Amino acid sequence: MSKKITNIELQDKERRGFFSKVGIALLGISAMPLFNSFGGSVALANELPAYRLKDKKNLKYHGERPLTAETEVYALDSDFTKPENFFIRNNGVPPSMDKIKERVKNGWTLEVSGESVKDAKTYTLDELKSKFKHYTYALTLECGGNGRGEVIPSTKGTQWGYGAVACGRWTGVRVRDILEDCGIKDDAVYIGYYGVDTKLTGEEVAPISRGVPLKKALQDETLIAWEYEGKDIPWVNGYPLRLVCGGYPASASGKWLSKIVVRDKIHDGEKMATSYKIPVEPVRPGDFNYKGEMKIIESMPVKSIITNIKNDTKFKANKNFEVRGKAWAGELEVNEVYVSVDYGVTWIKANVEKPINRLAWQKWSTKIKLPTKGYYEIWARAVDSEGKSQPMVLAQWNPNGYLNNSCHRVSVVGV
Amino acid sequence: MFKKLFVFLFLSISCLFAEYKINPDNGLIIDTNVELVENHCLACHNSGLIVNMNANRDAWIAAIRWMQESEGLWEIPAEDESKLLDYLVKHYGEKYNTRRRLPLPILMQK
Repeated sequence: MSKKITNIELQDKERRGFFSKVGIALLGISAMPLFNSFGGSVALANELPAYRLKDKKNLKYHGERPLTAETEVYALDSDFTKPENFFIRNNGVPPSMDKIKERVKNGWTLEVSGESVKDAKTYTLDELKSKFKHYTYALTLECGGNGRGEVIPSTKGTQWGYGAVACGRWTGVRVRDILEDCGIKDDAVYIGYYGVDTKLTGEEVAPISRGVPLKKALQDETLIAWEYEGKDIPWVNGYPLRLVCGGYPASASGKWLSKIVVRDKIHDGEKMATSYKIPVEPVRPGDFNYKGEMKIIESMPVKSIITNIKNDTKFKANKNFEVRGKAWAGELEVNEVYVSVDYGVTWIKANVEKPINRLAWQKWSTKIKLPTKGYYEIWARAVDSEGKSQPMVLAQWNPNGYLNNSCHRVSVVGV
Repeated sequence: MFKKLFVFLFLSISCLFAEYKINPDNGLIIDTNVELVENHCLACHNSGLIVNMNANRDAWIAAIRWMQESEGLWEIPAEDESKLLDYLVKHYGEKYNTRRRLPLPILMQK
């Protein structure tokens, strides 16, 4: 057995060596199980530089094809997520920058069509910018599978830690204004989007085409955006145009947006039938054969993260220090955040700031102390405006490992 | 008798300690049936989706069925699929590397 352990340690060492070389700080992340699950693949790590993006920082890459990477939780400490820290989740192959530039040169267009649109129209990007009023909102986008790495039994899909989330200020036009300009029929119930990314199999078709109920599309904060944090949207996050539906799984916010369809039924685009759905009735953990009714995930559940403390940080015993982070609750607001250093025996109420606007994440902070020397864990737990709290474990297992909002924790040592 | 037992123990232990190499070209552990994974899985996605996952046989089957249903994965002959699953479960099987409370059915199986 000892030989086996030594081998694993060696691989870890080699990996760490590699990561420090490429400048990705791996230690101190909050999801150590994920680090372990990086797969015993030194070779994979060695492949990383080829697809690491130069304009991205503090990301932990999960895979190349499809390209996926989450933000290190400590990089989410800034008020808004910086463009270079925005997580990456692809279902297919992103359009190349050359392909995008070619389209932009000819005038990037957004088509609005579908059976429930009165007057189908196509706008150029310039028309969108000049014809409609601009709005800026900070919106939280979280992958529906964020936290999947701690789902037991494990399910398919990217084994995310806690960093597949971002909140920043998006600027664009309201979907509502566009739909009003085209006119929508009385039977409209849903919208769907199409981007210009392509399938992993090489087919030149959309790898994902999801949608949201019309009531979500018509909200003030639902945007067709071209700017993120005052700059062009980063290439891999949807440049030059992205649908942004904050509070819903980020898969609803289509990247490289080229078409919106207004539907008289629930949109039936790619990945609407089998993905981003959870069982209506709870299922036994590990039941991959569940064939019961499924429902589409809409509002994401309440969640919080500790952003200013890395694992194994040392603090002087019996001395106050600050714990802070972010909390969000899908379509709802976060009312309270509590912190515990004794595994939930006692909870300390944190100060929670109001969101800058609806669907933006909220800053929270408090001062705590470690009563003695020794090993502690800091747990954070948010409560939403309907009184729903984060659970300590996965609330309900589902075959696709979605919606794990169990509380975030970091390890600390009193000295 | 003791000799037999010794040989048996030796073989079992060697088996436990067997070290596997990783293919530098694709990141997969080199072992019997790895070519099935290379042929059927890496055609579309890279090994990141495989080596990141530690899942039981049912979860791997569910992943394959989902890819066949919606991602354009072809039918795999039953015998090959079984071997492919053997490889995946052996090297990328379920690992409970967490201190969180395990779901009850999992605890009861142990």
